[in-house]
Amino acid sequence: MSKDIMELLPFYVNGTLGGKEKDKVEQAIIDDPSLKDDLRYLEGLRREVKAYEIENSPGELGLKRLQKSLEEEKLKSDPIARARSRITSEQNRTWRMIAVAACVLLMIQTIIVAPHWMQGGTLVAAGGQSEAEISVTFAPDATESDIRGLLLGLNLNIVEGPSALGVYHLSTDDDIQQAVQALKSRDDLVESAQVEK
Amino acid sequence: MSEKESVELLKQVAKGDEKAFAEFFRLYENRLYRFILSKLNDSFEASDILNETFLEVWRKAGTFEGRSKVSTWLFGIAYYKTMDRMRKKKPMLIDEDNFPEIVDETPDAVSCLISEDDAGHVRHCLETLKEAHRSVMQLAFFEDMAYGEIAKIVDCPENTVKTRMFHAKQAMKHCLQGRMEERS
Repeated sequence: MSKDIMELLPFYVNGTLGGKEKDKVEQAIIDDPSLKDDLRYLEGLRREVKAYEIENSPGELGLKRLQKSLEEEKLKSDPIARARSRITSEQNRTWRMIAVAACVLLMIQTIIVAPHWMQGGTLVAAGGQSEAEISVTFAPDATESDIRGLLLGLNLNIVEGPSALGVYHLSTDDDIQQAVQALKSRDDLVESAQVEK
Repeated sequence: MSEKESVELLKQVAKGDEKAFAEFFRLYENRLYRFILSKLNDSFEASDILNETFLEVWRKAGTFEGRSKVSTWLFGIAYYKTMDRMRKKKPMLIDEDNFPEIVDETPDAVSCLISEDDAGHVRHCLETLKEAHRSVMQLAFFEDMAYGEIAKIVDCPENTVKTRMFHAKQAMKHCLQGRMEERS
């Protein structure tokens, strides 16, 4: 059997030979029946190559990767998109720095303030330091400006009220007893004033 | 999908149609990955080259002139990329076509050897083939390509493809014969 025929045989098996070459191989098979063994061997080989399982191809993950590469490629080739991306990335960097600074400030604030929050193992509300408050009622004819002037003058703050009965709760950073006395001394405006725990 | 539809898809890709590109990827990805993997035997690298190949398709879709089949053009790009990677990894000092003639003295019994029970032996022998032989065998027997198409893909004369296929077939016979003797 000629080498030429032997070299054509695999392509006869895969069905890609045409015209004269196909006729030539077919005639050779008729002339030399031993070629049929080779033919069977090649058919078996082709069948096994086709059946050879490989691991899964990247599939959709591969497509996602490709699309990402494509975006990067577009950025490289488009100066406007690149500039926009650079600006966005700079903005992102600025915001990131601001966020980091805010976190640091929050941490410092927490370190400084937290010990003051915890007093005797109980958490004190944001209402403030003064455990004691003054409850006060004002004369019915006391005007808002009278009350405001009085409270400002005595450095008192309204923390709650007025209630349905007209009771205000006040706090002060100064001496609470002195504040109560001062309130009581203004009986033209104040009906009652007392310390409440 | 017919060749005409593949060509049409490629034209759309050339116009920058990303949907067409995704469709094109889905159409050829599996076959191309299989081909690349058969040469490299490394799934990570094969995925890399698959990605590079399709990026090249995106860049060069407009240059496809229809002188060859779309698959021939595509496999040619993949072949070039794979060879390039292999050369960088390990320079090829041996001319793979320059090996001694193997006289076909294998008994005819081998022709009966390839049954489904021997699939494992066939796979083992396929993996031991030289890279150039394996490529040609893969393209001829998995892709069912004509030697002319294969020659375009691997960028060599048609006669070289036929010779490589002949040697691949002989090498497989010898390998299978050896495995058969070990078994008996």
